[in-house]
Amino acid sequence: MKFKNLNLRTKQIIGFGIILAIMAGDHMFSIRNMAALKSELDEVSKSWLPRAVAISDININTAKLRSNQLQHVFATNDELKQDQLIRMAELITQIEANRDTYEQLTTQSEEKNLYSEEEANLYAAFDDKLDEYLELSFEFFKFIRDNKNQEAIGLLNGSAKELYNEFSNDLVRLVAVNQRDSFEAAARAEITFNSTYTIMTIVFGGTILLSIFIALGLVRFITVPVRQLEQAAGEVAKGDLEVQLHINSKDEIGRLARSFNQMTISLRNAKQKMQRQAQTLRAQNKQLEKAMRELRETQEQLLMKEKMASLGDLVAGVAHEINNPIGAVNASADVVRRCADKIESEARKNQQLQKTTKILKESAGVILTAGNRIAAIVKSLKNFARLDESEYQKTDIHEGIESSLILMENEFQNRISVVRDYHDIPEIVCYPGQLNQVFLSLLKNATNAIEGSGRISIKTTTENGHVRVEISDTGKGIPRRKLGKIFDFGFSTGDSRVKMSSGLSTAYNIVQKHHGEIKVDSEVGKGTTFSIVLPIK
Amino acid sequence: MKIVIVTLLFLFSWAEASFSQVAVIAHKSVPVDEIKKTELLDFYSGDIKKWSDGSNVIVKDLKPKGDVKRIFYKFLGKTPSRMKSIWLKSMLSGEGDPPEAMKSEEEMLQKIAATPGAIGFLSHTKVNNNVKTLIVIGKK
Repeated sequence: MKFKNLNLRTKQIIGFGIILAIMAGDHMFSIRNMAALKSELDEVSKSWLPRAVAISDININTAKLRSNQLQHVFATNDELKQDQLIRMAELITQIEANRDTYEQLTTQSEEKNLYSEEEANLYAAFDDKLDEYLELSFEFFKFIRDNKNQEAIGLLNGSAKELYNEFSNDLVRLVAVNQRDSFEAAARAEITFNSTYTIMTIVFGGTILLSIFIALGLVRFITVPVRQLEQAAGEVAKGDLEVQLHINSKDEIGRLARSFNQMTISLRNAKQKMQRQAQTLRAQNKQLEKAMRELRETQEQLLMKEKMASLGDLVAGVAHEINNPIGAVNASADVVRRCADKIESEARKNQQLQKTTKILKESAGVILTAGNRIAAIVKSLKNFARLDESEYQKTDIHEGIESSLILMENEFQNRISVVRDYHDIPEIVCYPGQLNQVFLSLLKNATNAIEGSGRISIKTTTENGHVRVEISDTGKGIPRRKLGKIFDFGFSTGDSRVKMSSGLSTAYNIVQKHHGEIKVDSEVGKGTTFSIVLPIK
Repeated sequence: MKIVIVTLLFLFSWAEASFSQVAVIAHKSVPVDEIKKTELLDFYSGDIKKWSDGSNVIVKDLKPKGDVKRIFYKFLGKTPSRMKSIWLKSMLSGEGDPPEAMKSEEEMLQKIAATPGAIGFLSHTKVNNNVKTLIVIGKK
C-alpha cells in the first residue's frame, strides 16, 4: 500500500501520529532520565550525606568516649565519676543510634547496588576494632572498679589507644570514601544531566525538523493538489477546456481530479459537437441563401422571358395586322400611281389637271415609299423576334445584327453613326431570337453610353472554330471597379448608362447558354468594347 | 558473573551450615527445652535476667572469632560490637557485668554443664549429654 494511495484522513492521522509519537518519545526519554537524575541526587542527599554525618558523629562520640574514659581515671570526686559514667552511657547510646542510622541507610543503598565494597569493608573493620575496644573497655572499668588505676591507665594508653587510632582512622577513611562516592554520584548526575540536556536539545531540533518535513509532506499531499484543482477550475471557468490535471494519488483529491478531467473532456466534446453543428448550420444557411438567390434570379429571368414572349406575340400580331393593310396600301398606291400616269397622258392639255396629277403621283410615291418602309420595319420586327423560327438553327449573324440596328435606328437618328466591319463568317447554330436580344441589349447599352454624337463600331471575325463579334462605342466608359459587376443581375450605375437593368445579365446568360463567352473592356472617357465569342457548332 | 557469585555464595553458606551448625545449649536444670530468637536476644541483652522458675540466667559468650560466633551473632541479628555496647551500657549504669567470654568451645561446654541457669553456644557436633540443647542454628 503506497502512502499516496491512502485517504486524506489516514494521511493526516499518520502524519500527526508520527509527530505525536516522537514528541511522546522525547517526553518519555526526558522523564526517564530525569528520574535517573533524581535517584542519583536523592542517593546523595538522602543516603550519602546522612551516612557521612552519622560516621562523623560516631567518630566524634568515640573520641568523646575515650576522653571521658581518660578523665574518669583521674576523677577524684565520686559524684563526678558517676556523672561521667552516665555521660559515657549516653555517648554509647548516641553511637548506637548513629550506627543504626548508618546501617539502615547502607541496607537501602545495598539494595540499589550503591553501597561500595570498599565502604562495607571499612565499616566491617571498624566494627571489629570497636568490638575489641569495647572488650578492653570492660577490662578498663573492671580495673577502675577494683581501684587498679595504674592498670587502667596502662590499658587505655596501650592497646586501647592503638585500637582507637585504628578505628578512628577507619572512620575518617569512611567519611572520605563517602565524600568521594558522593562526588562521583554528583558527577554522574551531572553527566546524566548534560547528556540528557544534549540529547533532548538534539532530539528537539530533530523533532522540529521532522515536524516541518511531515507538515511539508502533508501540504504537498493535500494543499498543492487542491491549489492545482482550484487553478484548473478557474481556467475552465474562463473557458479553457484543454486543462488536464496530473494528480495520480488515489485519495479523495485524486478521485476529484479524475472526475474533473472527465468533466473537462465531456465539456470539450460537447463544445466540439456544438461547433460542428454550428458550422453545418452555417453551411446550410449559405446554401439556402444561394438557392434563394438563384431562385430569385430564375424568377426574374422567367418573368423577363415571359415579357419577351408576350412582346414577341404582340409584335407578331401587330406585324401580321399591319402587313395586310400595308399590302393594300402599297397595291393601292401602285394603282393610284399608274392611274395618275394614265391621267397625265390624257390630260396634257389641262394644266390644272396636270398639276393635280403631278401631286397625285408624288403623293402616291410618298405612300409607296412609306409603305415599303413600314413593310421593311415589319420584316425586321419579324426577323428580330424570329417569331416564326424560334428553333435551334443555322443563322447568319449579320442578319441578326442588322435587324437589331434597324430597330435602334430611331434612337441613333443623326447623332450616332454606325461603322460596320463585317468579315466573311459562317452561319452558326443558335437560337437566333435570343442572340438578337443580346445584340439589341449591347447596342442599347452603347447608345446610352454616348452623350451627344458618337460612333458605334461593329466588327465580326472568325477564329479557331469560333465567331467573334465586337461592339464598341465612343461613350463615357465604365469605371474599372464596376466592370466585375456589370453582368450581375440588376446592375445599375445610378445614371442613364444602364437602363435595362436585366439586359446585360440576360445577355450573359444567353451567351453562356450558347457555350460562348462575353467580355467587356472599357476605359473611362474613351469608350467600351463588348466582345462575344460563340462556337460555330 | 553476578549470578555465578551469588550461586557460589549460596553453595558456600550451605556447606558451611551443614558442617558448622551452632547449638544453643543450657544447663540441664533450666526450665525450658527450647528457645526462640527473641527470648535468646532478651537473655543476651540483659533485658530478662531470670528463667521462668526464678533462677538467674547466666549468659556466656565465646571469645575466639570464628564461624560459630559469627553464625550465632547473625542469628541474634546483632554484631558482637553492638552486643558489647549494650553490655557496656549495662555495666556503666551498674546493672551488671558483661557475660563471661569463654576462651574455647570446650570451656563453654564445661562451664554450661557445671553452672546452673547457664546458657551459651557451640558447634552442634561438640554437644554432649551434660548440657541441654535448646535450638540448633543453621540447616542440616
